Amino acid sequence: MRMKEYQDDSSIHEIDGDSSDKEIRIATKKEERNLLEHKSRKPFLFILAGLCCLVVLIAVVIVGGNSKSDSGENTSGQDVTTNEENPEIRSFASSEAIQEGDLITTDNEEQERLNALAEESRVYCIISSAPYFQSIDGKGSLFISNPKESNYYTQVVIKTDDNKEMYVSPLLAPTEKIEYDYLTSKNFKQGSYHCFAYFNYYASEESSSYLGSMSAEINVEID
Amino acid sequence: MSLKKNMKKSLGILFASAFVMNMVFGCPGIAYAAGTTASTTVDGSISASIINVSVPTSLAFTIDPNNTSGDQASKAVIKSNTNAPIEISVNGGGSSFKQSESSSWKPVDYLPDDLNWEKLGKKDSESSLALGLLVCNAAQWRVLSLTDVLWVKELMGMTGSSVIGDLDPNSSAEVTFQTRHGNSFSEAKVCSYNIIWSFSLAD
Repeated sequence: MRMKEYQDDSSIHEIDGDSSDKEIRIATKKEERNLLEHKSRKPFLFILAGLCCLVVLIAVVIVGGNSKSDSGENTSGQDVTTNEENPEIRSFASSEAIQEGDLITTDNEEQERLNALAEESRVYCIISSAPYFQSIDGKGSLFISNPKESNYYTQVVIKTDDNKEMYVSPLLAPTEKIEYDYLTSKNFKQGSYHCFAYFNYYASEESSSYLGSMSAEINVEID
Repeated sequence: MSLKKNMKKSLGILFASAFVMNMVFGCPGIAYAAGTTASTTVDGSISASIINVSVPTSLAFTIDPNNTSGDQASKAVIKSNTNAPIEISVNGGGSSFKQSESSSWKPVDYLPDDLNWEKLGKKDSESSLALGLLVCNAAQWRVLSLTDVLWVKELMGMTGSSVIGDLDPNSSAEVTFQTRHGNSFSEAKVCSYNIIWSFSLAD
């Protein structure tokens, strides 16, 4: 019965002798053939499987990318800036920034900011226009003040109009004042001197925090 | 009787004479006649005026090359709390109105007519500036001396001081800046200037 099954097989015609032997031999041949066929198909299957995996991977990447773009994420990514021939209008997250009209780059807020910057740096210049000293060794009426409204330290230096230093005040913090004081230079004779009182302003007690200066024209009298 | 009449007559003449003298010479005559004197010495003592002025030390401006009329600058309010008119000036010679040493951008100062600003390229735009001081409102001043823009470059060439004007007692006035510049900037610029104001009692 088995012989009939394998009649079309060329290898069976070559075999003579005992039928049971034949059957065994035929079976052995078939196994060998199957084994050979199996061995030759194995690399092909591996390649096929690999290709399938690659196709699936590409599909996942494409589908994933499209879904991100559709939901409005990653709109500033590099892929988005790629110039296409007929680019589609992309969806956007928000339209709050859209305004109508021409570009206006000046506004009241900027002006207010600039004015506030100036106001924060306001400094004060308060001194007698004519300090009077009864003698070179006596106290004189200076009436220098750094008022409570001030945010900065100030030091006053009085110089004659030919640049001779006559008086240097201590550093005054806000709310401090000097009503009467001695001249710090004694190299002046009796007389009237046309002077400039230079107010130097500092943000702190360090010289490096210098902010700026102002000057007041005064007349110092020494009796 | 005749003696009494004579005495009455004499007294009448005396009183009449005194009355006439009093009418002619007035009370001092009587006082002088009484022999007393009085004199009062008046000592007038006038304190010197105290100069009391405040002003910002930092003034900022922004340049917008995309809008030729869009430049903005701080308005500096000069306040005088002095009970007398105050003269406000800026000294010349380049020491009273100059670029701050700490300024991150240090363009060369020009007069507005020195360059053709609209045609400046990037290199010249980023290295040139004309900056000037300008009074905002003439009506705020007792006497206004600065009727045009006072340019930094102009002040550098001056030897004396440039008077801005006189402020009324206890009043304030605003000043601001005007700029001329190129329009080609590849990055934002920040510039700062120092001004040393000078105050005195006005004539």
